[in-house]
Amino acid sequence: MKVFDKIKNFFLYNTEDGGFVLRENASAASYDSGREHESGEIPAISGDIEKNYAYMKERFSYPENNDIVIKQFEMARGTKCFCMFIDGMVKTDYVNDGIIKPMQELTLFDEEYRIDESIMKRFISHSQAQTLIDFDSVCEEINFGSAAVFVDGLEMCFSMDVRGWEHRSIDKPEKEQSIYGPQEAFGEMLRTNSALIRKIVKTEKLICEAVKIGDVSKTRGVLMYIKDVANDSLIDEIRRRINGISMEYVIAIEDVALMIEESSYTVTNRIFTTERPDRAARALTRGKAVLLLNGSPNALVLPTTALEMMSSPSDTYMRVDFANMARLIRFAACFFSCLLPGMYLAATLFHHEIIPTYLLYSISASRENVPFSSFIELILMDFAFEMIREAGLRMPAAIGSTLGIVGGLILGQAAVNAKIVSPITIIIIAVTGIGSFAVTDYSLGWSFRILRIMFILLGSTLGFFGIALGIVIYALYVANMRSFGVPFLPERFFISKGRAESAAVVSPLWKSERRPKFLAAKHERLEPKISRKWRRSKR
Amino acid sequence: MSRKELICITVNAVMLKMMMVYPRFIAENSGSAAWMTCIIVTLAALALAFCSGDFLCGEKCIADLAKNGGVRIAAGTLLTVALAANLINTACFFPISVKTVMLQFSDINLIIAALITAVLIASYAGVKASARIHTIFMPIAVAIIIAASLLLFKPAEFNNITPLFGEGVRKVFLDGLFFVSLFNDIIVLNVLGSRCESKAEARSALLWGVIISGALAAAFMIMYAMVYPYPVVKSNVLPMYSLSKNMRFGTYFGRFEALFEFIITLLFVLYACVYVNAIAETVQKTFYLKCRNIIITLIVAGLCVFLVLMDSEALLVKLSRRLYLAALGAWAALSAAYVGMRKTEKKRKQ
Repeated sequence: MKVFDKIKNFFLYNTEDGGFVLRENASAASYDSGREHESGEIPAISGDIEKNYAYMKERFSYPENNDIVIKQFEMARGTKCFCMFIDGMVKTDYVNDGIIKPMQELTLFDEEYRIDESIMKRFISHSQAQTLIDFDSVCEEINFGSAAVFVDGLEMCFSMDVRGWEHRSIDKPEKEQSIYGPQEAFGEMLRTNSALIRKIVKTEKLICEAVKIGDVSKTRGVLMYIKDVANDSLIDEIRRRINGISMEYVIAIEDVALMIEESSYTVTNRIFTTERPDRAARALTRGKAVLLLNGSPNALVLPTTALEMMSSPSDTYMRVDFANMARLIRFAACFFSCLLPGMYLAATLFHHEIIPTYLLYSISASRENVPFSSFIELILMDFAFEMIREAGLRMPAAIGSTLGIVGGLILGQAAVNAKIVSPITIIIIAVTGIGSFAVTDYSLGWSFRILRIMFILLGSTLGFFGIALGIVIYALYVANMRSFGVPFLPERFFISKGRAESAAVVSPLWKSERRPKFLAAKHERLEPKISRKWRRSKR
Repeated sequence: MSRKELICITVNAVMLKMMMVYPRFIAENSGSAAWMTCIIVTLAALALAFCSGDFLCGEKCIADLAKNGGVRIAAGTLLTVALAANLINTACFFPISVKTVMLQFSDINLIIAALITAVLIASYAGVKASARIHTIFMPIAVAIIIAASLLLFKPAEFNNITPLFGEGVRKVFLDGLFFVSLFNDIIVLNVLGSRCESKAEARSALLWGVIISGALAAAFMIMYAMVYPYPVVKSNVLPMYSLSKNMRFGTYFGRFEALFEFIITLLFVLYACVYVNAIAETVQKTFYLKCRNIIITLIVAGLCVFLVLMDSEALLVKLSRRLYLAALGAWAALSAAYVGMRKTEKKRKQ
């Protein structure tokens, strides 16, 4: 019989899953896009607990929704109540000891007490409790880890912040590692992250403005800025853009970054992301704003300049000469990452005279039996390198070394032995790859990868002339960009001249007297003209 | 626009001319004393800049200043001609220099097409972006050129700049004054100067621009004259290329003239971007036009026509002298018109 079925299926071309076909949904009428109540009335809480119970059950699809907990209980004199929360998002001890127990053990309400006031004032032993009157707010609070208590006869609900979900502890930074400076990185908890910044910027002028992004997810975040420093119009603009985001679910802060940036089709990222609280704090003291989002271990620093993306966290903690040396190496790395393959092609195809004669012989000899042109060779190797890099990101750490061996041996040695590529191409790609890892900002690495391909094309068609044209067009394009109204390429490129802004050359800390001019901060002076007063004072 | 940006624009314009063909013209006139002519010309340009400071660094461009429609059109057209003459003069030599130094086996039309595309895209970015990039690229370029010039000390011969007065005092000092057209490009400040934060800043930018570019031009000229003896100088069309061929980096290094042309390409596109935008702005103001990008496209198309037509070096050299004179004449006429306009305005007020 089985054999017969198999033969039948073979001829009928039946699929293995029994012919399942995804059908279109009949109706999406009950879909919650979070925008239903924008113009209409917000459903209010009723005095009848049964109605409230039914409404909440329906809204949270209970009991189909397995992690929703609804605990019904009675207060003294038989007043019906129910407490609702999401299992795993709250600390059940808080709910038991701080909410249900005191309410169950509630003694008689006599005439002199008003039940609604007394519950809040006398019996709920929780510091962050609030009264809500509409279902939308209640649902939002429950979704964010609060417990809601409905009491019969009251047209309100008590919401208690009993959040207690599992989260990562404060860890070391991974993308922005530095030997110097604090070794803390943001986690996924919004309040922990804002506290990490507040721990550094100890001023009551530091504002943590609450924002909610996502019509359905209502993901919470904070916009942080120093009130008497940050430019009001900058904060207004950030607020306007954040409030202007209309999407149902915001999963991570990167979603927000993509939604608020000026243009989506630019090769260079215009919003700087950091995982270091100290960097975020420093940006705040300069007059910038920082956006944190619950569930995201990164902060957005707004606005950003091109040189800020090139700077490393350790630049500010190191002695000036060391920092400048490190920065010089980094600039060279960027140059190699972006231009080396293109320049190699330009030199070998058009400008042989640049290459020393002996090296030219050597290159020529090494390429003797290679069947591909230099251009194809370079593109092949670049593609192979990018594949290894991309695979390395997803590969479990335990077999990461295997990838290194495969990449190193097969793509390096074997490709040369097989005369598919020349050794010089391997060297060029290796230097380019190392250069791209020396770039501090990860997104900038992507920009350089795209630019590298463009420069390879220009170098192979027009030599140095093409590369020069490409450089100047890209430079003008970057010079034309703005990040939240601020020029992306700062006016002071080489030296910051007494201003605390990123420049190509790192200035001593005592020279950071004023805040960046382009930020037009409310208070410009960051430190007095003579900040090292001990130099002037007598011993 | 900042003072630094204006200085960089001025220095770039003058240095580009010096690297293209100008040293040959000066050398033909003054012989071994060409560097002296450079100094004289710089002093003359300083005097001119000082006198016409109000015209160049006013709050408004001359096309803006003219209230009468006819005068506005005449002044605007004259300014456009002056700017266009300078741009064409520098631009015409560029594709040939690229072909000679970098892309010997490529068709010149391909070079022109690539250049025109780049200039068009760059011009859309606007003059502000170009000015900002000028401040980044110019110091690097000047530093590289100065550092490379040190390598020329070996082939340089002091005897090559003797006799000190070259073709004679009259030639060096009087006839040489014609070469004040080296600084023709400062006329672009009439359009850009009004964007400067203050009039004083613009004036300072003008004077410092002339001083720095004059000093660099004189240094370049003296090095050029010391490396190439007088009669040979006259046959070199591209002095920067000729000089870079003489640089010795040692046994294990190759020749780097392509790298210098690489730097010149960067500077040229920035220069062209400033000029195209300045011309577009003048045309807009003169004829009350709004469509900036269309004007830019037309200007670049016009430039392309000139570049395609001017394919002979001899023709270019011949035309170049006339264009320099035309630009100088336009500058003089505009300065006079400016003085006239100011006087009329004062009379009206009285």
